[in-house]
Amino acid sequence: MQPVNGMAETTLIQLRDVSRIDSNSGRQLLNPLSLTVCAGDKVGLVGASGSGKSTLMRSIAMLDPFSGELLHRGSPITDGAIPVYRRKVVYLSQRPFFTGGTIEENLRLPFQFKSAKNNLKSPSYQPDLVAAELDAFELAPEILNRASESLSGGEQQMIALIRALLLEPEVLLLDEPTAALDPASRDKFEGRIHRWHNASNNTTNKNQKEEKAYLWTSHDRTQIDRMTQQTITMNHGQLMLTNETASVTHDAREINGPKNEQQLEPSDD
Amino acid sequence: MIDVQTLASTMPNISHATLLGQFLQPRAQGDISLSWFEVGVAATLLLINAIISLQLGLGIAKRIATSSVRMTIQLAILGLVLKQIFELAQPTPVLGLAAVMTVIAGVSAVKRIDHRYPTIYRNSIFAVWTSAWVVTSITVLLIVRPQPWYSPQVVIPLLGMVLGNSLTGISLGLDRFLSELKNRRGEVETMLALGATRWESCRGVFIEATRTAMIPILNTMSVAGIVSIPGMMTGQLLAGAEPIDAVKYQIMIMFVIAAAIAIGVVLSLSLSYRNVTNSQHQIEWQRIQRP
Repeated sequence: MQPVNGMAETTLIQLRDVSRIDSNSGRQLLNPLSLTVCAGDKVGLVGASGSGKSTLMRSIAMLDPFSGELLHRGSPITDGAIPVYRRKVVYLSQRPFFTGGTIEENLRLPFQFKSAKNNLKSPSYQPDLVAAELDAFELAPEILNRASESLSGGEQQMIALIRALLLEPEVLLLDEPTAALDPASRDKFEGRIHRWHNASNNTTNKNQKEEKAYLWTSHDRTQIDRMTQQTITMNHGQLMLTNETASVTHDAREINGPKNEQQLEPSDD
Repeated sequence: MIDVQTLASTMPNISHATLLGQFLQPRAQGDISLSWFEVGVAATLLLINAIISLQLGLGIAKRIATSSVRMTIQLAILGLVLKQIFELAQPTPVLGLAAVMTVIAGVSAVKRIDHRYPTIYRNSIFAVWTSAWVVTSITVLLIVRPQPWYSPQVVIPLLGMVLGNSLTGISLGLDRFLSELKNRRGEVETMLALGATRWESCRGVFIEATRTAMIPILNTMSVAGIVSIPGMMTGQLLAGAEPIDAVKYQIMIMFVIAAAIAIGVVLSLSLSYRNVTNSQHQIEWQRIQRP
């Protein structure tokens, strides 16, 4: 762990012996696993359907009850702070969902939650930022007035990503985000994630230094190669190809070797 | 020209005498008791239904039969029980019967619900009990004020009406809440993932369920007196009450029933919401299951 550009690699999320059992069937959905996600990480999560990838992601977002310990920047998260934590560690599902109403109302919705209003550090809804995001995705501004059902699958997923990015998250949990998209939409999506991660971790201004990471699940091996630097393979609710106490930043990299393309994060190798 | 008066006075006699002989004598005014034969005439009407069902192969003839028999037995038992309790005129049996009715209403409210969670019966009974008893107590003790206060002739029918309506509301509300929650799972979870509290994520579903539960009583109130004459008023008119008195009672009971439904629905939904979510702002989906 070498300081790069004068900053040490920050531990964002730590899972300690996290496991999950389906309380109805008694089936072990997630075997006890430990995992560390550091700033700058771009982690690929691969494995067959039902191997526990989504379960792991949902556990990191604390969307399901699990046993074990989860630390955010070294501290456990109190129950009341979970909504605020989820704004920092945003889970994006394969299929985007919207509430009724227009796209603009959907984009504004998270800013009406208590976790936004009661938190001074929370960003506010900025229309010009939204306009810039739409522009980046080559979406017409008129889309804001449309109902979500009238959008194509690709447009919906882009809006879902914009909605997540407006929260200024630290970690994005991308659960097969482009599985249902056409290649053109997929490229735009990947490009945006890339710029988001890149801008934050390559910034020269230390005061504006924001530390970001993402986990990405996909059945598309080439996408994993393109978008991630470390790979975790899951099988039957178990982490494979990493040491049990793996910090993905280090151990997974030893196994898989550093990817040579798109080496954009501050790296210690 | 036909003499109207003659016609009116002779017609009933002729028809009764010729069609059904000595069974159907014109009754004395104010006498509203029915013979078992007269009840049987009504039953034959349903028989027509059953025959149609058999002819068309609707497959509901058996259900018509069983629910008719069931209804008859239930009401016959109620009649016998009420007879006993009316004669005893003691508070304990009155409250005992009220309690049994309440528990049955609470259990029945869950019967037709598609999705359930482990403590749903307890919650339903609690919600029915609280709403119906609070509202009925106010009605009996502050509005109707019978002597003695536990008069079964007042307490039991009033509670029965309140329970029947409250259980329908609770049943509709719970069914809608749980099925909507399941149907809108993606939407609810997306809100949670974007920082909603558990209440913020469930509020929309909660409101919709409440609205659904209130629809029947709102419909009933809006057509009362135009499309239908409500049951209680019908009963009072048959028993010879003054129309204005019957109307006042009916208005009062409508308000009382609506209040009971509102309390019961909000209570049952709040308890359900607490039971399918947890303090970590998660929805415990695995608790919501089809029976």
